[in-house]
Amino acid sequence: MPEMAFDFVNLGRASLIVAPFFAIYAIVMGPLGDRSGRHDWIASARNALYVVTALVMVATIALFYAFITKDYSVFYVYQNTRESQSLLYTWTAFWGGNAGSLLFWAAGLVIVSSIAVTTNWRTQYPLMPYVISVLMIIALFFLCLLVFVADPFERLDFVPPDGRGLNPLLRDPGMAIHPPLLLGGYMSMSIPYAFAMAALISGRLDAGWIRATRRWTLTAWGVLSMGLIFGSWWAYRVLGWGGYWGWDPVENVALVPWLAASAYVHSVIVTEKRDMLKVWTMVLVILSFSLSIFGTFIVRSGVVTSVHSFAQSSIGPWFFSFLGLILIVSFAILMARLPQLESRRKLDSLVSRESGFLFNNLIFMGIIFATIFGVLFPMISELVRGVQITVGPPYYNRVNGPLMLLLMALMGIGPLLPWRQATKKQLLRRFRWPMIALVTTAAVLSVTLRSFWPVLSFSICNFTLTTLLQEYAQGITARRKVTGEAWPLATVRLIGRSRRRYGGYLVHISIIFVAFGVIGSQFFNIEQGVTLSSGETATVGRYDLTYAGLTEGQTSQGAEVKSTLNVARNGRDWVDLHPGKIYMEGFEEQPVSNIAIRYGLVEDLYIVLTGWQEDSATFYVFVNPLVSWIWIGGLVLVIGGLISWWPEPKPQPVRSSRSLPSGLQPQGAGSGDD
Amino acid sequence: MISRNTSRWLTVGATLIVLAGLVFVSLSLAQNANSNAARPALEGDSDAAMTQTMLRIGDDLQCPICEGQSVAYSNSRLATEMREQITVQLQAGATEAEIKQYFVDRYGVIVLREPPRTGLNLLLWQMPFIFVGVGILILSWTLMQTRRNKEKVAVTANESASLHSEPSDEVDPEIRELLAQYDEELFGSAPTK
Repeated sequence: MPEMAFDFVNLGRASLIVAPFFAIYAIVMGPLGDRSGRHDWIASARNALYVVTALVMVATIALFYAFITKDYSVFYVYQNTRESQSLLYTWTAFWGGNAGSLLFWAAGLVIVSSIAVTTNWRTQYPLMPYVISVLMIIALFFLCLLVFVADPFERLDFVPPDGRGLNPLLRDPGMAIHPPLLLGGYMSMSIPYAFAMAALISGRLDAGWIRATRRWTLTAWGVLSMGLIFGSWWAYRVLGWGGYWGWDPVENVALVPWLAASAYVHSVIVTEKRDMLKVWTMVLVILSFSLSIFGTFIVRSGVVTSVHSFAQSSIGPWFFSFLGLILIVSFAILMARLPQLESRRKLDSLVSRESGFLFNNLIFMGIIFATIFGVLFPMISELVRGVQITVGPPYYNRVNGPLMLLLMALMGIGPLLPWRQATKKQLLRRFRWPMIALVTTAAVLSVTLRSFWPVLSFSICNFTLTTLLQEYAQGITARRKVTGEAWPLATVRLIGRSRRRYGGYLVHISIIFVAFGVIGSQFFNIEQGVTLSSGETATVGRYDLTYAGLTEGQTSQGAEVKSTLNVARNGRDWVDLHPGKIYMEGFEEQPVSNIAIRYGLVEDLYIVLTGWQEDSATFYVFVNPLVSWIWIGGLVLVIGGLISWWPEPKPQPVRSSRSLPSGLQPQGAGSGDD
Repeated sequence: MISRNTSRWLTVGATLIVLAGLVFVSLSLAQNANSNAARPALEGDSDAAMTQTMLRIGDDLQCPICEGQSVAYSNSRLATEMREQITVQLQAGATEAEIKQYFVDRYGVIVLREPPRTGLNLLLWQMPFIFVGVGILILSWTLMQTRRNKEKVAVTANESASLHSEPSDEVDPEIRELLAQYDEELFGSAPTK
């Protein structure tokens, strides 16, 4: 007998069915109110947005409730959890499948929409009708999917005794974090997009919308970055091939919105500071958002399969249509506004900060193009020649590798270029030390490493790092000179006073750290397969591994096999490592590796148990140099991102030190002719 | 100039530290490279060498049922069988190319992680570089063009002085610039002169 009276699951489903009507109401009433000057209609549209938010939240809580009470009559719950699955992974299970992740998207979207609308209600009031409308159109799309295609509350007509459970690969802390972050980044891109569209539709094309959404863009970008880093970390810990990035389709489509957002974060600086590149910045907002939808589409539709796309369904055509609609409508509106977007200023010179940003954007576009082209090329090949092909890591490494290196170099060149135009003298002075660093590094490393690409890559890294250090050093010294503060104070205050700039530089430093890790592990890793019988020793790099047997056990998740290896480093006893395998209940056919990783600043030792016979076992042993720097880079990136995100202090009232700069001028003039 | 020297030595010092670190790390990296290079020559340890070759070949092959993972490192049964197949063929004396061809015959070109560079596939390899190359050309050309126009008009000293963010007069550019930057950041606007 079906349960009677109050049922949380049915309430959730009802909320999802009602929500689209409110969304439609908001979509219509906002612009209508603006056109007819009815402020109460606009306010009503906003309230409808709040109602949609509340309804989606009810649905979200209802699904959580179903998970926590383990209501297996709900098909989605049955699919994604089971008795033996710890409560921790209920969270993971929530978006482990299609319907749940779409609900997660929708929930996140309405929450950020509510926040963005509420906080900008007064300051950006003229944009609001259209912001609400655009956001609700996006929400409507996801709500329709949830109602018509992927219903998270679908009921079975019987109650199974136990669920099927989450794919074992997903039961990892890394997996509990990274997909929500990626989805969070995707959906946050909706906010800048909605504001940009609102600016275009309403014709208020001043920098207001950019200022209103700067922090949102940075949030989306930062959250995406963290999603990517955590995703790599998960792959490294769980997949067992010794790597962290496989250029797999899902990773690629997660990367491209990040690249577009990165390009946008840079071009917007030029738009804000110099009132240029307005059209291009608009294009990048549209691109970032479309690529976010594209990312969700590729991951969720099963058009391409990969290690990460655990959900496949028939929502492909829906996404495809929506994506097409976004692109056509957005660009049509942009075209219509083109005359009003013309910049008053023109670029002055090839060697200037502006053109540095332009080349930066070009390279970003190149990487985006190469990556999407690689993802779609198998489809092109199948359509044109009927031949199925795989585009694997070699393509991406060879094409994107050099492009990324170019981007790294630009990262070091950009800050050295003055705005508008540069004199030869300025350039010589600014480039001196970074160039010396480049040449010295290249010379020294050529002796030790003797191979072209790694030496070039490391040298470029050091060139860029020197540029950034020089920027900090100059800033700190100038500040000390003016205020007479001590070093630490001057450093902190310098960063605190211009957070965007020095926070941004910190992000650049974090990218160099990540690059160190990538270069080290890409060119210098050791991978070796060894089969050892009991007591036998194998040598991998500077490690001697002695096999000391295998034990079987039982964990809460299922049966476990655990091996023991005595590891000596440089001939001296070091640690015991225990690579193993877990056979999770219900997934015995698909054992998960329990990889033994010893993290280190110079290199990681990474051992996977792949098989065993009576008295011997086979291991894959990896020595992965510098990989830890990727995770350190991730941490620094978050710190730098937060610094540049944090609202700048209000301009301070003029103090007595205000007169100092001009007071120093004579001194500066005296030694100016060197 | 104290300030100028200080900032220079700060930069140089920090860079030297980084360089020292890099050199230290590079010694360890070079050791890895050596041990990688030495391995195929391990004639006495033919088992290990064979596993090595097997892994290398396997890493070039796509596991047909678990897309996104190579044959070498997939846990799936098919991948395990394919690894065994590679080992068997290696023991029978097959070359790398022969083994890859064997799998291509069975599963199609899709099994190769790096598509052969022939016919339509050439497009895959060339398009990105054409894209960026053309982009760079167009961008440089446009910028050169504007500069040429600019030169005709001739930039007057006045015009460059009107730049609010970074004054570029030649008195002592570095200090002037730094102070201006600092001032701008501290007070939200450039000092009025």
